[in-house]
Amino acid sequence: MNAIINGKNVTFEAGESILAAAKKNGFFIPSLCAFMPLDHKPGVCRVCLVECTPPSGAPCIVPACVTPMEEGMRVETATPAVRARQRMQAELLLSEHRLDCEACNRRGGCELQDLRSALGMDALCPAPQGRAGTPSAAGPLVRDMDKCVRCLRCVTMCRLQGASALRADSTGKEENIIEFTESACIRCGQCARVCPVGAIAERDENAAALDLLSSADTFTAVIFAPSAGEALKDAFAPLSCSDMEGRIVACLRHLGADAVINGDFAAGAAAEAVSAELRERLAENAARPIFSAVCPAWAAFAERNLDAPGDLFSAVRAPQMPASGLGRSDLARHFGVAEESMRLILVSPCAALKGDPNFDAVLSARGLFRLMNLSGLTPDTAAPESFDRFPAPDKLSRAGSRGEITDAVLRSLGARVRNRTEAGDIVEIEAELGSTVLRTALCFSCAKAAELAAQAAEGNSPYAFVETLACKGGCPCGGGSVSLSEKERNA
Amino acid sequence: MRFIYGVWDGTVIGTNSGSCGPEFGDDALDFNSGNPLLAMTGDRGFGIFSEQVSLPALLLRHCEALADASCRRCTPCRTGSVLLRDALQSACEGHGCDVDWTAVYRVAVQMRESSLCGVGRTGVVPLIGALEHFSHLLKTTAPVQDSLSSYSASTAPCIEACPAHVDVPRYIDAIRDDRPERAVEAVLEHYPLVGSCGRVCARPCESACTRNSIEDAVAIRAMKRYAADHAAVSPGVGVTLPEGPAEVAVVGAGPAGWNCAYHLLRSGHSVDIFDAEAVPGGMIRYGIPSYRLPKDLLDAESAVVQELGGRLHRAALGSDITISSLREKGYKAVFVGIGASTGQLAHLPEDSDPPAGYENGIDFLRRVHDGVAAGTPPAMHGDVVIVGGGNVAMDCCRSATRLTDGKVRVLYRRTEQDLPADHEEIEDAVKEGVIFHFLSNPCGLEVSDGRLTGVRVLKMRQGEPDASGRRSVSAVEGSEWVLPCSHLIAAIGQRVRSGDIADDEGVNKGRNGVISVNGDFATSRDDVFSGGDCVSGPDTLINAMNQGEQAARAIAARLEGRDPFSPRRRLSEILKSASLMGECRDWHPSFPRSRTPSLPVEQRRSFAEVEHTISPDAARTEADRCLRCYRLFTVLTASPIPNAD
Ligand SMILES: Cc1cc2nc3c(=O)[nH]c(=O)nc-3n(C[C@H](O)[C@H](O)[C@H](O)COP(=O)(O)OP(=O)(O)OC[C@H]3O[C@@H](n4cnc5c(N)ncnc54)[C@H](O)[C@@H]3O)c2cc1C
Ligand code: SF4
Ligand code: SF4
Ligand code: SF4
Ligand code: FES
Repeated sequence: MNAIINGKNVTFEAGESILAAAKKNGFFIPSLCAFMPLDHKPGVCRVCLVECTPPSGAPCIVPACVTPMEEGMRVETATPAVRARQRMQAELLLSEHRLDCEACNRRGGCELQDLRSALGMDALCPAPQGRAGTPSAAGPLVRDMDKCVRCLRCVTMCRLQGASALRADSTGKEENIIEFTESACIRCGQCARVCPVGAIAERDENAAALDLLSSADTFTAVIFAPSAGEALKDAFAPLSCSDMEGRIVACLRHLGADAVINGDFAAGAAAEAVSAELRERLAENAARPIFSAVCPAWAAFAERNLDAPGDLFSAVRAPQMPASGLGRSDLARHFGVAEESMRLILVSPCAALKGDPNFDAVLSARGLFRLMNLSGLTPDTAAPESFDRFPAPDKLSRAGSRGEITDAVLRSLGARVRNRTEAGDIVEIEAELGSTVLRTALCFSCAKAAELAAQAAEGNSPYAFVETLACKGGCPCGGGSVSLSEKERNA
Repeated sequence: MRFIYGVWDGTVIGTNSGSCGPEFGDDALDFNSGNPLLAMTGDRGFGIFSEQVSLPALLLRHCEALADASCRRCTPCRTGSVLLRDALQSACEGHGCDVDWTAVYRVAVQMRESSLCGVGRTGVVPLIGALEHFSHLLKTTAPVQDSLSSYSASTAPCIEACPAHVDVPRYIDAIRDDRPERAVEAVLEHYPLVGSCGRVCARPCESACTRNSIEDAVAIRAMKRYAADHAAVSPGVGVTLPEGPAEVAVVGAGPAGWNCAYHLLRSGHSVDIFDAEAVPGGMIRYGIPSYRLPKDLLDAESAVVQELGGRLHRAALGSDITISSLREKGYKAVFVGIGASTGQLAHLPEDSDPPAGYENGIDFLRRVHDGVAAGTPPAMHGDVVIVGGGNVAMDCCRSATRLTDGKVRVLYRRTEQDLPADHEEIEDAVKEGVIFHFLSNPCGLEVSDGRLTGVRVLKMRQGEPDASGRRSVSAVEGSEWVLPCSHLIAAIGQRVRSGDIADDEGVNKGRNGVISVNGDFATSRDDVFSGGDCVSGPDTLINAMNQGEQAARAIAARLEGRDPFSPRRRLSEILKSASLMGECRDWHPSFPRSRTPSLPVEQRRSFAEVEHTISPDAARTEADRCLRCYRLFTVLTASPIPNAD
């Protein structure tokens, strides 16, 4: 299908929005609320204004994200009049925004700042009169609604996560239109990955971590989860260097870590414990599967929303510090330091692990990325180093690349995987255990997993084991991994 | 009455200009009695009738209402409405000279051009008009004296079309935001039968929907049903009723009476309800078949009236009780909602002594209801013929397809285009196998052994269109033919049963025996009110429920010694009589209406519900189709407006 954008003939597919078609053809239209990775187009920020002349009508101003292209349509994305409309929208947004850019966790990566630099500011608009209020902390997150631009991305994300803890207030009577129900929040942190500004952010522990790392009186061990490596690979992708993990180990030592320990033993220990439960369940010949509860967000979801018999769930929770014999005292003994001076920092992309009492600080992958940036460290200039040796059982299996333990569980049971099919949010695995065939499911959606649990509670489950990871893409895409908003912005 | 100045549809109006704006008639227009309209604003502009009114004050009232009505979703309206209000506030305080009106104008135009919905797009029209033509009046140097009263309301074409003025865009918003419970709450302000109305409403709102001019109306009814199916909300708890005997007697537990009781109870008045039947619902229980409205749903939704403290007694007006006897018992007010429940035969010579197999639609549907409720739907054999083309005829023919082993036909004296029934009902009837014969009218019966064996049918011919544009029909001579059948059901209208209210009750009646009422649904007898089909003649569920609600409002005002005046209703009257509401002329891209899932035709031999609820995804997509055509109106008067807040 054909249309004209800024005087140039372009082709588009039926139903494609003006915004998408323009982007495909290299025309930039400023936008804010629309978020393509979630197919989220609420059409509310009204920044993406363009002038469009439909074949059947006069020129009109429309939002590009929610207006589909039509055969023969003419679109202007950057005439002075259109730019003035877009600019005023940014000004109006800024007029109600709490401007504390220098202290904001999104400084440098903020989509509102981008708008300002793309559009400039006219002095005509009444002076900014930002709101003043106090941020509130809940679990891994800090919400500062005076910075909210009402893009509703977090609402869509939270619905897709199955929690709907963030919902839009439909009455329109509230100043803050984002309602948060703490009791429904599963702490996955995904909302913080999509927020274009600093309105929802993970709790920043960088300063605390730096304090610990630079203190001379303590022995600070960093436990580095393998999925953090995966997440950072993504963040540092432009550097395209080999052995990213080894280079990050070197950077952590450079920052002052007295020891850097590979955290993959935790998943291995969890897999070991879960397979023991599963072996017992199989011996009972019970029809009921075991649902893994290692993912803390899924465990929280299940606890809140499911009315399933208790023995449906495995007792194993993340992280597997105590179960693997890797408590603070064991580590202190291993490194020959006093327990009182032992400090532990976890680096993990899982937002739900923030605040875990086993650690003195929990750095998200995103947090470590920032911390390295602000310390002027880049992996490409560091020579790879290896992890410190640590006293964990050595023949533990590692987790899969998405942080899943299903394969490790099957391996430790002695089962052999013979088939694997992935459809939507579910990976189905068929394995042979002696003469029997085990079916298991690996699920990347709490809502889907809830359906499987309901099925199991009725005794109709085809599976022996179900593992759920609340975040799409698994642990490397957890709430503490790179911000999707920043990724989109740089794309 | 004329505006002295103003701006309407972009042009200056008033005594000193060529144009006089909207037509209000010659007489001074009172908003409420003795309180003339001094100025008004709307989506098309503003107009001032009296020198008493200051323009900044009028615009401030309007922009305060605008900032309040903003749903705060889109940037320009959320932020802009506050800036405009503050600028006018300054003007009213006498600092109009210091306001940067150029910037204000730019913000207003931005709102007009880029707001998400009608609130921002049309709410700024009065201010834009004022700034373009009367900006000198805003550059105040002294505080503005403002002692006038005002009333503001936002509405939309769908809201105006709904007799109860249910806030349709509000509940659509709630659905889009995954808040079905809030959607239900918006409807519960008007009636408790949310899911029932979401299934069978005649949906005047959809006929008025702006989207009709783009592709197809928003599926408003399906969304109301979706909300009811997904939210459990219990309406009105915590109202304490006065001790002692009930204050009000409601006669008739149909939609009108039941809703009247609901509103009286919610406003704290105790109610006794009397009905000839043991259970509430009236025609929507005994007329509407279960495949359209499952009766367990109706039971569940009706129960709230009893939960609120209403007591249902079985007694028939005209035999067990009379209006006078109720008044003597001490009820302070009586509401009569006895419907129009008498079916009529087809005006055939055999009507005086109908053979077996010939009956009216109301009696037939009642038999079907009783059978289905008891688990033994009445069996029918042979071909069934229905006379009529309205919704009752559709209920009869579609019920018959579920019961008979023969064919089901409909005789309609006019053409297919004239069929008054809902087009979806007609489509379903055709799908279910009903055969339509247009321009066909019965003229007599074939009877053997006292049983019907056929109907004699005359072909009709269309005449010239009459004044209303409708073409008359007349019989074609000698065109008679015989259509064999074993059942003939006449579905050609209902009447109010004449004997229920004796002449000595002091309640005046009009044509066809309907009860006469005034604008507050009061009858000619003091403290006796009436509404629903017994006032309007056979009408709709929503009309009956609304009249029940309006009567309850008037009764409560009477009991509390208040003025029953409703500014919202009055505003609607004025909007309608002077055609004040503008049409939406903005260009909008087209998005197809979502389809409602339904039972496969092969499975429609039972009385199981045919239409199903839409999926959450479909509900959200459908909700996104709504343009939120809100329009904001403000009126100004010299004296206070009763019930304005
Ligand atoms: C077959 C059929 C299908 C319909 N389908 C639709 C539809 O799809 N959508 C729609 O909007 N409308 C529909 N209607 C119209 C709708 O049902 C009526 O407009 C509505 O029920 C009127 O309500 P009401 O309370 O005024 O009267 P009714 O519903 O008739 O209720 C009157 C009540 O008063 C009681 N009563 C009557 N006489 C006495 C007495 N003497 N003493 C005590 N109690 C008495 C009755 O038992 C009844 O409970 C339909 C009507 C019929 C007949
Ligand atoms: S952390 Fe997850 S569950 Fe909680 S509000 Fe954010 S997206 Fe929703
Ligand atoms: S909190 Fe962030 S993601 Fe959510 S609506 Fe506000 S700006 Fe958007
Ligand atoms: S588009 Fe929405 S607000 Fe407008 S008339 Fe239709 S339902 Fe009402
Ligand atoms: S990006 Fe189009 S309206 Fe927000």
